[in-house]
Amino acid sequence: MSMPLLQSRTDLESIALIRQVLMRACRRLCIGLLCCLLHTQNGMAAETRADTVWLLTSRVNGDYQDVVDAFMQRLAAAPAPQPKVRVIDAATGIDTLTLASGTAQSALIVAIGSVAARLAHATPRTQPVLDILIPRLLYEQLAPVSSARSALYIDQPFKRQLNLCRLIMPDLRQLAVLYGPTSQDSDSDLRRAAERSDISLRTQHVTAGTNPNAALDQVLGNSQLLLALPDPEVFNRYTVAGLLLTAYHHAVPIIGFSAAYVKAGALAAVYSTPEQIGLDAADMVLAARTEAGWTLPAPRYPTDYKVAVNRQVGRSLNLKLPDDDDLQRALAEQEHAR
Amino acid sequence: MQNPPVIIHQANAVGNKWSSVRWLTICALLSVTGPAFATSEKEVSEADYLEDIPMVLSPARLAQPVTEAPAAVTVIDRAMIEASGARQIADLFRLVPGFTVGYFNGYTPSVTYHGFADEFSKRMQVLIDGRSVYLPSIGGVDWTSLPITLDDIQRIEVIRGPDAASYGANSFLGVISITTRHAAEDKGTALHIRSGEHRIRDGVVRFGAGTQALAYHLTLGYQQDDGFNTRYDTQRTRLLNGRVDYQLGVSDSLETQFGLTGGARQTGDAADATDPPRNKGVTSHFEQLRWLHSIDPTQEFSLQIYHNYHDTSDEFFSLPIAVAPSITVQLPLNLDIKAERFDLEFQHTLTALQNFRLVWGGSVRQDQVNAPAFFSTTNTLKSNLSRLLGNLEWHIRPTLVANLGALLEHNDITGSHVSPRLAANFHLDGRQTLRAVVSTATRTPTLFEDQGDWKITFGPKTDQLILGNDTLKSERILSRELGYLFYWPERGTSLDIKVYNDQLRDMVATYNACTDIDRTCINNNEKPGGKDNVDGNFQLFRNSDNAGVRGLELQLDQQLGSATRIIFGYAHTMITNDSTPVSSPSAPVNNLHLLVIHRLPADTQASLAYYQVGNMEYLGSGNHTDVQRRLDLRLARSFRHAADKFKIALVAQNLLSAYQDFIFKPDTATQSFPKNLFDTRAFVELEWDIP
Repeated sequence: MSMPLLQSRTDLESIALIRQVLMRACRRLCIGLLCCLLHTQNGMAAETRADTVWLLTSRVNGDYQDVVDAFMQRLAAAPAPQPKVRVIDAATGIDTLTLASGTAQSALIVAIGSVAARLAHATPRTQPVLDILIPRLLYEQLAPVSSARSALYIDQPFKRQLNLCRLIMPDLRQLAVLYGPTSQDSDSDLRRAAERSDISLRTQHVTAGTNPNAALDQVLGNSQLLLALPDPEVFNRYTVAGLLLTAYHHAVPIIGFSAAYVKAGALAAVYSTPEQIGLDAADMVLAARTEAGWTLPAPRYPTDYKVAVNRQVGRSLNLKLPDDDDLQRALAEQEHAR
Repeated sequence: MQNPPVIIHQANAVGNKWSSVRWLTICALLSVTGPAFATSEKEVSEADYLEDIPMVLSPARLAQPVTEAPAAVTVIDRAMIEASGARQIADLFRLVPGFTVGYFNGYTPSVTYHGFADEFSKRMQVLIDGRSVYLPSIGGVDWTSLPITLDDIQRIEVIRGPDAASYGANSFLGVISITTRHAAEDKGTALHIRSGEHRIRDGVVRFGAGTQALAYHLTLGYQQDDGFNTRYDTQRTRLLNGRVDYQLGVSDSLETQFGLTGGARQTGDAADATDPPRNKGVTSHFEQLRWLHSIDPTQEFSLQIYHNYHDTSDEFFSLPIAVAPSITVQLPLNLDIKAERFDLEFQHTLTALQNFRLVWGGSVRQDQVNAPAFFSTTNTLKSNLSRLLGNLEWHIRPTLVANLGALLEHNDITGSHVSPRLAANFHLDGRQTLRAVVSTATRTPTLFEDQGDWKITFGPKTDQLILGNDTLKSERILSRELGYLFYWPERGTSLDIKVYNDQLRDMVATYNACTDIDRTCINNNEKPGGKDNVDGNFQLFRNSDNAGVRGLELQLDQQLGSATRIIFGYAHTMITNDSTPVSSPSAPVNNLHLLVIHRLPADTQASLAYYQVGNMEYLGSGNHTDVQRRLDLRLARSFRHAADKFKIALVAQNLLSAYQDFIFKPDTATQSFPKNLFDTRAFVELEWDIP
């Protein structure tokens, strides 16, 4: 025990300390360089203060890229002066954002997806943030009510989903819903919407770690449709096979929440594509531009959406379904009527 | 004092390193086995809305709606299975119009549609998850050794009529297609026990679990009863089956199944020296693998391979037979039959064009039979079959659907055949549909009918019993039907009425080589069938019979309020058999069933089943049976304790007077009458579900 071969803790600690100091210095240096770059850009900017949009994406591929492309396309078509757009990948742009708190006061941060939203929320900053492509429940969990923060949700209002249910099944009386630990927060909203649509809900709660199929058996009973709500403990890609099969064997069709669900075997879904979200977000951003800066509207659901119907499932369950176009038109009419 | 923490620190570092290596290995494994399922979020995110998920209700898993089906279809769902109070799968077919279920003995049901069945119902196709369980040896299905329990069944579709274009060879009088439950539908443990009169002792344990993309379940079962009072037919059957459903990414899934049954069955009759009371053993197993691949949402491909094995071991000595005054011998007899089936098939479902849906596929199959007594050879006989089949569903107009299909088959026994089918469904309005079907099918003679050679040799004397005929042709059926469907789901009404006219040609029947042929058999050395050293008093097969079947069938499924469901069926069947007159037809002229399911308060359910079968006579060992009236009652109550679900049920089968089933064999020598009297039998069921 006299001569330990291993380094003492104090030695380790001091090395770690030096490393930290070095890292901090490097980071400052980088920030400084970027500051210079930005200052030159800001100098060339137009007079309005709302002139820069930072698109913070959770990823730089696939659906996120589609949002970005649609967003840019809509902005490019807007009358001049168009705001400048910078795209930052949230996975690598952490320090760049830290920088934003000090310098680009005139920017609006548009966070695409949950990773970006989390990052924007966790970063000390003064710029307003618009979260898009984000589920409402997650947004409400992340963001305290503040005028500097708003959202364009990825999910659809219950009213719209219930309208679809009604169009699919005109004599709908009872709708089955399975809640999990996350989705149960929607209960009061959904109940209110169902009451207005004159639909009674039959609900069942799935506790964490239990088999949602057992709960499903209990809600199907006299229900004519099942409305699927995303929840890690209920409707997720692992449980979907059992749930879809069981509901189908009870001849109760499922209304899903994405195009993928319809492909997998749900009867229908109303959903917004990444392109639609991108265009909608761009409109939101353009409308939020004022002389004094950015004035964000209240968080809202997407205005544009699509309807998908699985005709094979409908046919197999002997359901007479309206055409896709008719459904889309009828849904739009019902929304405008209110 | 500073050193120990250092050591601990290092130990932790090593531990962390190891655990991260392990974690990485697990991740790597997961990404190999199921790339789409490698991570699991505990929170809702946009990924839930954007990500691809596996295609679950793929075209192959979706049932064709009854209003567009190119045949009369009866669906037996889970609610009907439970409410019927049946403890044997075969009994469920009493709920299908035109079907008769007769028990040759306690464990040998013969299930047929429109008659023409002896104790082996050879003219029906029976499939479990697309696997034919029809026995290639002597034909028919050994219902008692099917490796599934009633609890494994999701639904049964019964096609009333020939449907070779969709189900392949031997889909002759009708098709029974059983679908078992997907492994993902049952998680947890379920216990189901049954006990009652006639020494009924049944037990089933089902266990299901799953991890991410993989779901499996296992069923362990036991069934016993003592059959009919007057028959030597106690049976015990043990059963094990398993199913694994595995999702490989988004577009592929693998379905693996296996099953094993075995048990002892009493057989024989004290009055029959060559069929003495004894135990025989029956073992069967199967293995099945199916790969489903969705090419895109409109196209799906499946590849399936399976193997069936069925083995009856029945080796015994006859009762003493007098061969000379004061000399008796006991003959050693061996009625072992081993039958195997290997089958490989593919299917392609195409729904790309809006008004068309094409399902086509092909298969190759080999049947093997080894039964020295029945074929007079220790060699294993083999028979190959290949087929190509397809059905095009064409939505000509929104109100008119046509189904055009055919089966092209080649087999070693009778060569090549084409069996076409044409059907049109015309929707009169949103609720009414007219259906017209012309369908054909063939039945290939069984290996026994083709090559059977059953004789008993004792010293120099050979007693030929039955001789096969390798010049037999396939039996043919031409079925024409008109159907009317009234489907009003809002009122809970589903009604199907069908009138039909079937022509059956070249039906294989036995005849006595001596007396039925226009020649004399005085000389025992005559050689009918080309065989040496046999006397002429034996049975031969020939395509002798033509028959016509005409009739009407009705089935009604009506929901009354929210608590009552009524299922009613009636069949009027007229058989004209122009060559073999019988005292009563092989199907009853009038046949009806009624099932009433009523939900009572306090999670209680009562159901009543009434069956009435007109007089008829099964072929072969069957005898004339009078009108059968049978009333079954079931009362069930469910309750919960914590998360566990319980159900207790009381079932009474045949509360009316005992009826005679299938056989009535007075033996003049012994004056024994081994009637199959089905008396009242009651049993209690307990189910316990632990999620």
